[in-house]
Amino acid sequence: MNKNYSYQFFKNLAANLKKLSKIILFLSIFMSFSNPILAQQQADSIVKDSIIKPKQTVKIRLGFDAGKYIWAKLNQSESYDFYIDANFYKSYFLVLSYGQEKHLTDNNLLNYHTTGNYYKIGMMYNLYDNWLTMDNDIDVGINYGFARFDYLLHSYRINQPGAIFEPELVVIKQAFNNNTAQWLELYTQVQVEIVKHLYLGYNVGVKYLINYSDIDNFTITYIPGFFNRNTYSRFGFGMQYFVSYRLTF
Amino acid sequence: MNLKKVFRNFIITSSLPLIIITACRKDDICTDDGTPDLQIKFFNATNHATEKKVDTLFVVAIPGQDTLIAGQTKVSGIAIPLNVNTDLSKFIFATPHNNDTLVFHYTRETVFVSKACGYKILFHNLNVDLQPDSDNWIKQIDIINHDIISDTTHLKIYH
Repeated sequence: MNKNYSYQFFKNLAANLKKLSKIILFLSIFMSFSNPILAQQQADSIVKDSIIKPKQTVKIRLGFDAGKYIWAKLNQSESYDFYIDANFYKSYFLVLSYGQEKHLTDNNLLNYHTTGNYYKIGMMYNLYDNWLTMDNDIDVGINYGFARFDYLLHSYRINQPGAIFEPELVVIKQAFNNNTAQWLELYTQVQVEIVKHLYLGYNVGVKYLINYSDIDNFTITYIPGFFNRNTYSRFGFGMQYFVSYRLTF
Repeated sequence: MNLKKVFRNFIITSSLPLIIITACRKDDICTDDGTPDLQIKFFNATNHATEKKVDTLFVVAIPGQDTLIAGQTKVSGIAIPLNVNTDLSKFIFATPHNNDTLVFHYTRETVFVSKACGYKILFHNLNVDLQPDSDNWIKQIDIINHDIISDTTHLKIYH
């Protein structure tokens, strides 16, 4: 009985969230065009300045996802994510990422480890017009991600609502190896130069799972680099806090 | 209008609400089926076609003596969770003055449902033994469905 009520509740919640997201999308579009600060900037930019922009050099940034590393440590897991971005043309960047994860999932029904690595390749565009020596970013980017990973199911407990014979913990130590997944991600990112050549930043992104391998009597749940796969949709959500260092040539 | 700035403002104003919305997911709450219960309906022993309610019913699991149904009146049907740890479950089906012991035998199949729902058990080859005593209130048992994979009636008890 209880289960039905909660199901109904979440169904309603999901429907309401859909409506809400449409309203917010509309408001965002509206606000982008009617922003008074923007109008002010427009007026200012009519006056042309005479400063010559400095000659562009090749810039390569090395980054480390500090948020992921710390979060994993706090959750009995191990994760690393490194990336390189190269400013190859005007405000365009080429971005390559590599990550390794060992992640423990433990709800009361399942206990398993996900171990694996992933690669990402993508393009990024800086929307921010820096003044002279400033070097900050408001970026938008797209990534293609590919992950290869293994699951090790340590134990499970049978799901039986209203059980009178309490389901026992079944220790199984079963491996589901050589799984793959591919996804696309669209993100926006802010980076600020804290001291010379050292940057702090974060990004938020929406991910879309293109495909993933099938597993007999288990399923793709956690994916390194993608986070949890949602049972009901191919969309995911990601957030990164990172430190990066720029090399100039 | 400077499109680049329009785009930038759009991203800044829309990204936070989008995070909040996409972060709320029902994935972590199990809304699918778990292990199905054994569904039993009570029928008339003298006229097999008609249903007959049990005036007062007690159902107790053995071992453990956990009471599943304690003196429910006018019972036309019940759902009982079988033991997922072994291939048999034992229950006492009792009226106020008469205890009958039923032993259910089956085989188990472990089936993965989802991350939130984990694994469930489907039962196959269902068989039931009524332990005979001097005065059984249960006269006959018919198995309608030997596979317990959904919430249909699996068993008819005539009394």
